[in-house]
Amino acid sequence: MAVIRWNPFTEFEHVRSEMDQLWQLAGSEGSRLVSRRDTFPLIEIIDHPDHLLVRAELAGIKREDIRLYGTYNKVTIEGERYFPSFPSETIQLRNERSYGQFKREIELPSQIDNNQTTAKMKDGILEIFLPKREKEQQKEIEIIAEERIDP
Amino acid sequence: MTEVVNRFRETSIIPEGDYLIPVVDIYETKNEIGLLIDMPGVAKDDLKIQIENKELIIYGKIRKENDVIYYTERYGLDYYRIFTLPDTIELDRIAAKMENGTVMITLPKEERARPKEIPITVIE
Repeated sequence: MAVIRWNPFTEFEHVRSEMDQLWQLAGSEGSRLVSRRDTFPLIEIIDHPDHLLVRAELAGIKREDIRLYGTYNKVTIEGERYFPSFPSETIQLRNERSYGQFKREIELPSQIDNNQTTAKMKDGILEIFLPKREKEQQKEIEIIAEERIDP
Repeated sequence: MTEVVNRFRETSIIPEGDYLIPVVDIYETKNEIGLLIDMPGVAKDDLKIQIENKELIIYGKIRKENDVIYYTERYGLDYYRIFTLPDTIELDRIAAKMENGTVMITLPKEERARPKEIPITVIE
């Protein structure tokens, strides 16, 4: 029988901070080691003149276990990370990865055209391409130099 | 995609700097110990695993893009973690593979460390 405990990610935070301290003690000089937060998935937003890029860290999650929804100003990532299927008589020695369902709603800094939104996955990063609505796109404004002022 | 990890003898595979500790799950079966390490943003070719002095060192270099970031929760740091190995691992048979940003490492146990059922004879 598999002896596998399910643990919410947060319960291990104290272990993680202890580990971090150990690392600090043993760590090489000048190195700073950073621990992760609980938010899942972690994201970043890149603002280009005509589109936004949202990247989310979804390591170890299959494409078919992720669903993506978008409106004109919001994008929602939801899905589930399943526990790996281990052979019988497996003992879990350490659990820092989180399992179960997740959902994250991201408010966007610009209005987007949600009919043109695309997404791809690579190396555990989901990248969502969100073209801005025409009226939100940044355009260069021409500056006219007036050389002569009419009397 | 499974490949045998090379044991290299360089002084260090880790350049100086700040690192992020990747999260890990460790499990044990009858014949092996397994590690699942999350390293989102690391391509297979940017992953280094070194075994030296009973330690397994893992280093993953993230792909950095020259973007103007509006908002981020990602650290933008490479991953680095050291694990101390038990004495009973067959070092030459350690294998690793990478899938969707997660590294899977299998550490096969030596024959002597694999549990065997001991027959119990009932004496009447």
